[in-house]
Amino acid sequence: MPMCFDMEGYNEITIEELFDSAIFMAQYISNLTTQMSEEFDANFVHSLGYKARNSSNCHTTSLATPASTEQIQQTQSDVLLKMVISISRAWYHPLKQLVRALATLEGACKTILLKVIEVKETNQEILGELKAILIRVHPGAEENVYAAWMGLADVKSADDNTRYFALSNILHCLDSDTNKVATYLEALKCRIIHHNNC
Amino acid sequence: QSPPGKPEIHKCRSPDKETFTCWWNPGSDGGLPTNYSLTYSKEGEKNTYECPDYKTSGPNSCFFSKQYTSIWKIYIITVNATNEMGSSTSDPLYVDVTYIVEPEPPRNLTLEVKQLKDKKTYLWVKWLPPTITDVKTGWFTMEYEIRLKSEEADEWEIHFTGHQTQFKVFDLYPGQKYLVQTRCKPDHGYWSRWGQEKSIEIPNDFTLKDTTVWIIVAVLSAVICLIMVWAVALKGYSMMTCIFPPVPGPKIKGFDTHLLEKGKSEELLSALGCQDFPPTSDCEDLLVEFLEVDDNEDERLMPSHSKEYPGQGVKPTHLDPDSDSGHGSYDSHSLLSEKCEEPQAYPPAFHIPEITEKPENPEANIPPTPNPQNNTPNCHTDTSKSTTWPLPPGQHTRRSPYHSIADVCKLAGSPGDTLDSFLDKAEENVLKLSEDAGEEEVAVQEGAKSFPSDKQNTSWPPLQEKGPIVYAKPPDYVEIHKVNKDGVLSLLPKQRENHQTENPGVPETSKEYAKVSGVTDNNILVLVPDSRAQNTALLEESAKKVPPSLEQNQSEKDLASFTATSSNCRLQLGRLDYLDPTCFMHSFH
Repeated sequence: MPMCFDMEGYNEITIEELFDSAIFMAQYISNLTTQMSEEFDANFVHSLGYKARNSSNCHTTSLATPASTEQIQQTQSDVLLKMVISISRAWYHPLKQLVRALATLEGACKTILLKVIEVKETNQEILGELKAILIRVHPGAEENVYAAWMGLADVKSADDNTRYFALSNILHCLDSDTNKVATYLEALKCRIIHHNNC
Repeated sequence: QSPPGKPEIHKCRSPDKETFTCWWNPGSDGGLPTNYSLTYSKEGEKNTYECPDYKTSGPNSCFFSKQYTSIWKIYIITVNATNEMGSSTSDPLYVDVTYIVEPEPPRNLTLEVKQLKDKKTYLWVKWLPPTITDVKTGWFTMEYEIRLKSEEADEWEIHFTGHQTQFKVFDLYPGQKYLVQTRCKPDHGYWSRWGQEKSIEIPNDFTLKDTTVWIIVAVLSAVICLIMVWAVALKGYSMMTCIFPPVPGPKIKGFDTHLLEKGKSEELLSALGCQDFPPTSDCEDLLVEFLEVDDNEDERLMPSHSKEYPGQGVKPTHLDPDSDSGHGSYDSHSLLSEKCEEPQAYPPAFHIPEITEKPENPEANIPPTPNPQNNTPNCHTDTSKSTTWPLPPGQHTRRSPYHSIADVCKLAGSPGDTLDSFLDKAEENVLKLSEDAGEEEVAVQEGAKSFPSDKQNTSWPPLQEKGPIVYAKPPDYVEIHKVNKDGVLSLLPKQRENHQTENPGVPETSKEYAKVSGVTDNNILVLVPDSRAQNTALLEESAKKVPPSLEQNQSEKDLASFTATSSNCRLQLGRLDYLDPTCFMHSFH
């Protein structure tokens, strides 16, 4: 479902302030997702054998994001910014399903449910900030396509092992992607605002 | 000999989020040489790889360089132990390089003691990020902490500094030595170990400077306070003089404290000017008397009568006709000539009836008079004479103007001379009286007593005492008859004075005049001393009452009256000259 973006509220904010706001929110949800992943594995995935046997991929792997400082420095600002927007957008629907799954999960603590709700709402705010930055940096730029999530069936599976593994895997992917968003935004700010002299 | 024990992976750490190293603890070796190998596979990949480097990180370790490091991917790592007897495998370890970062501690720590503008000292701590990490490009975001303590303390004091690479520490003790260290941490990694320790001593110079400053401030403030106190003291004194001006001491003009000390109240009063009060009262009295003197004969007669006989109303009626009869000046000359002849013809006959009348008088006159014996005969004689002779009123009118004029002339002239003349005459009278018989001596003694009382008392008492003198006249008449024979020639001027005094004196004197017609000669001779005494008393009183200053004032006010009186005096003197030759002619006849 595409979002209708309203730019009226961002005209009077400086680009540095936009970066600071986005980075702050990204780091916030990155910390929350790390706590959620560790908490779920501690309660539902007693044997690490699951990961060894069924190591799965994340639905955002197809975006081919840079994985080292050299790769980041070799990517142009607009390309890197569009990647960040694509990652954030890719988690719009999975977060909604994740809220429903954890809400109906027996034995799950309420804290993990509250955290996932917080992550869902904050991700939507970050998306708005990122679009504003893109327009400021490259007026007229258009968003890239985003990856679709295909793990809904496993999250709803009647088999507990299948469902637990699916949830563990998606929480891990969410943690990794939110950390990427935070790291890429820090690099962009140093490049655009401080000319790589942070 | 046995197979090797199960090894254990100790930890994996990445210093820069681009490379990482894993360490393991070997198990028992089974008594045989044992080889260890590390194998790993990545998330989403099926291949398994062996450790790329067993040497760089030391024994029992495996180093993954940038080439073999991927972030945001999970590494599945295991370690195998193998000897001749067999092999064993460790538990797998899942590693995400993003979350195993442990950086090196910060570098280039510098300490510096500084002062603020208010001379407050503080410690300035600075450092740099570790060299391995790439902070400039934003790949890393570091957070820092510093800790410090004094050399003698046991516990550290930790301060979180956030992302900044410098920090200021206040409230340090001078003379103390402080130790400082720093460390850092990435967003999702582990804290580094504490960096190199540095120390610095806070010098005492600052405290000394502070103390000197405080001393200077204290001294200046003290000086300022002294100046303020001094200024306030001066102003206060001037203000006090303004608010409470000095009270002047008492200053009384003409006042002499010595007089108070000596106790001379009279002199004090005079010095203070109090003498003005008595003179004013005296002036009033003098004015009243002067008015009496200037006024007509009637006014003079009225006060004398009221003083001597206030109860009797009949006497004033007699005075009124006297004033009317004053116009007949020619008749007076003829009457005076008759008086001169009468005493020479019948002196012994008049003496006898006087003696017979005396016993009747005391009964009627006892209550009003203090001296019944003396007063009674005088009254009876007067009344009988008046009934027998109608001429007495004419005689009174003739004598009164002489008396008044004489008094005025004396006042106008020098009072001293007049007083001397009257005193001489009084002495002569006293000598004559002493020569008389026993009864006459008694009368004389009474008269002598009255004279000193007049002198001692004030003005009023002598007027009241004139009454007894008048009552004593009859016995004097008898005595005078004897003396008259011998002294007729010498008493001629006395006769004139007697006439003048009798008229203004008392109505009783008019009765005596009745005797004079037959006894007139005797009466004339006897009345001379009484008239002299009265005149002297009046003169003395007038002298006392009239000070020189007041005399000048009166003269100014009454210039017209004095001029008139002077003319009258001259005319009357002329008349007296006429009388004298007639009297001498009668005596020769």
